[in-house]
Amino acid sequence: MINNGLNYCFLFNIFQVYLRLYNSNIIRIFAKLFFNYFFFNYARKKNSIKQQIKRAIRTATNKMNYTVISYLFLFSRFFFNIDAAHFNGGSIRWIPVNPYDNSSSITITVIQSYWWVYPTVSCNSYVPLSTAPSSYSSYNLNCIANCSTDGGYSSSNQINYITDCVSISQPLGMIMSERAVNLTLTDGAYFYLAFQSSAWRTLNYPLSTALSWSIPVLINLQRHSNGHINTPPTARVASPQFVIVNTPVQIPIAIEDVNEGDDVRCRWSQKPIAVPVDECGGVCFPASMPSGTTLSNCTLFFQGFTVGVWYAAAMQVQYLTWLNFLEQMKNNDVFIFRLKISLIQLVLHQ
Amino acid sequence: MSSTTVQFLISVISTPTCPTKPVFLPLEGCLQVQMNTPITVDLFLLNLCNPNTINITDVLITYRTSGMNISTLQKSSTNASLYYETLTWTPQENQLGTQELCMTAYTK
Repeated sequence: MINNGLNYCFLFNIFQVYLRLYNSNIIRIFAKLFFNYFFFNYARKKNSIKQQIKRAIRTATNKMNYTVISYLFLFSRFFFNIDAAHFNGGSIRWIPVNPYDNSSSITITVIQSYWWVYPTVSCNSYVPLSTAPSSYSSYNLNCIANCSTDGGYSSSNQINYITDCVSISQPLGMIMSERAVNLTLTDGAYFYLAFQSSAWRTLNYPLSTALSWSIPVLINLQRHSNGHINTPPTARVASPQFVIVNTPVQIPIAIEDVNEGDDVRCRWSQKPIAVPVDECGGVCFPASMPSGTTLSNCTLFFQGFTVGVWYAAAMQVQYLTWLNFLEQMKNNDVFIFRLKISLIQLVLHQ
Repeated sequence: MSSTTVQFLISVISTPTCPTKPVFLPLEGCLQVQMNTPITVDLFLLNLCNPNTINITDVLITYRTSGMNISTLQKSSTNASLYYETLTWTPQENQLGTQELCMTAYTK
């Protein structure tokens, strides 16, 4: 059985390579077609002086826009200090106000908690806007996937990422902010909200600055087999974790799950196509961790080799279900899965 | 399907002079409190290192039930190794059942 499993994995990898080759061939053919099209078009219009002048003007304006944009970018970085490294992590979780609610609109409480670098971000109400109102373009948590089933979120009921400072630690140079808001959505909503921006405090070795963050949350108001709204699991881990150099440590992720009998698992956060949404921004495994770091049974096995270095661990806590496995299989995977099934059928027939 | 993102920081530090962790005392298990009645509880911490060289520098609250207020870290006037924080909270009707408070203490 174990050998079978290994072979299975091997097949999976080979097919993935094939598929990539196939895709890149398609891209090459398309590129050729496009090139030909534009080349002939260009040749046809080459003689027209009018066109040439127009083109020159367009290039000039484009260049000007580019300069203006880059100047604005420079100035914004200069004026709003908050664009500098200031994020220390956090989480977004939600709970149904009444999981047994049978009505067509469901109210949930969305709880956002974030850690920030102090004194870059000050301890006030309306964090982080109270520190630098202009550096964030939109204050709302945006829908980033499955927005057609957002239960009316984008059209009427948006919530923002503004939180209030609840605790401050001067010795550790950080503040924690939190806010809980109620959100009413239609029954059966299923979509991803996210708080995405930059920048994390300086992380990793060698040092990486201005890494972006992405904290997604799946709002799933589809009813459980027992007819209730499933409350997602919550994970608790203190941040920051201080670990002694050259000493292996185990950092357990404490999970709280209100639904009995759920199989709760931890895994590293990933980026699309492996998962539907960007779960980790600039702090994805394995680049975000020192070599040799592993995650097993919701415990992080970690060893740091350089004093003074900070790392950001990004992971997902989720129920393991067959549906959830299928949901994560997008494009490539579905193709590979079908191939695997037909292979198995072929073997069985023979 | 539900999925929760957890993102936290890990800081690599040099070997401390005293690696012994401080302890919370003696508040273990469960405290019974009454709905709509304000409570005030002192949460004590003991520094197990030499208080002349190593101190408890801060206590971070990693999880709290909404409405809980915790004072800043205070040092006992009689015992150099003893610290405390004061929790004030009025339990609400929708908080019936078990509620939690998690804290992490740091020495330096």
